[in-house]
Amino acid sequence: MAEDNIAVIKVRDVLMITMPADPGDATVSALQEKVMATMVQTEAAGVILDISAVETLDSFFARTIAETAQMVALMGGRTVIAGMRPSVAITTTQLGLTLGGAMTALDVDRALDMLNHTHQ
Amino acid sequence: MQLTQGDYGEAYLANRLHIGQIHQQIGLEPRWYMGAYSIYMQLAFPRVMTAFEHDLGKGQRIFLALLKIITLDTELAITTYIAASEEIISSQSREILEIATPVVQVWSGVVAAPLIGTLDSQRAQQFTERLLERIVEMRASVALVDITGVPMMDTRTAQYLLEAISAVRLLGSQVILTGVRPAIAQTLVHLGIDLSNVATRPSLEAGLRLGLDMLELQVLHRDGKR
Repeated sequence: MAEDNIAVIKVRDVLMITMPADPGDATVSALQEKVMATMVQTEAAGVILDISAVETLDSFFARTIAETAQMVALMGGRTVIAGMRPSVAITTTQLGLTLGGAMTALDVDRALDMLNHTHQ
Repeated sequence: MQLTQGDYGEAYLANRLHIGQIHQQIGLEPRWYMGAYSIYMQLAFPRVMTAFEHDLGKGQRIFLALLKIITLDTELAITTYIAASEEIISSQSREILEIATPVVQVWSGVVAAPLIGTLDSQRAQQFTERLLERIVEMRASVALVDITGVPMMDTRTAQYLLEAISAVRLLGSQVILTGVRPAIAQTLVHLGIDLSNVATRPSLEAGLRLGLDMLELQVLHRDGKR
């Protein structure tokens, strides 16, 4: 099942998800479901999506990220996208895609700092 | 003369190509080479025809064979000459691109990228790629993009800049556009470019101050005052 290759880990009060290199549409959809389900269970303050292994980001993925960020916000949390690759950043900009209300960080470390900061 | 020795294999070709490269290095243009061959032909033709006046057919064949090998020779030398010239041009172009887009770390977590000259699509792409790679490499949260060295601003250049800035944001870092001179500011406003989301400063120094501020760093004088 596509859901199986998405691991959602709780680190302090933040949910961490590491995306695989080439996530297909099914994996991306599963991501959203998994995040929402775990948010309800744990009442996490934020979600960190680690995309440092992702080589391509299509419009479906971008839209799903934006939607998920919105849903997380409605549940009182914040979303940070961490570790975007330069080539992905360039393509995303050229395609005019946005990530909605999701914040971005160079790496997971900084993403954690960001979420702690706003929490305090 | 090697020309009429009869063996026109790989060694011959290699030798001629080498000659072509030497001509390029010493600046001997093709026209001198071709001129020399032209004189050669003018001298050789009457002699061949005289030697074979009893068999014009053979004389013609011999002359045409001579013509064939001279043409091959000339072609090889010229092709090499042109290729060597093009190689110099393309290596200079690469060097220009290299020189014109440095990205240096000015503080821990802060990089500065001075843009010099005009931006065409290739340079813009190269600049953006380089900037992003260095940001990741140096874990920089702030990138100072200085446009003091950009002589003029138009819609295209502004577009490239905005794209680069968006891309940096996606990585999680901030861009501070510095070196915005009055003339450039005027043009940007007239073109209706929306920079309301971008931090801008008139100088690199001002940009650095803002950058350090963003990182919650402060520069203090040794005696304690700011």
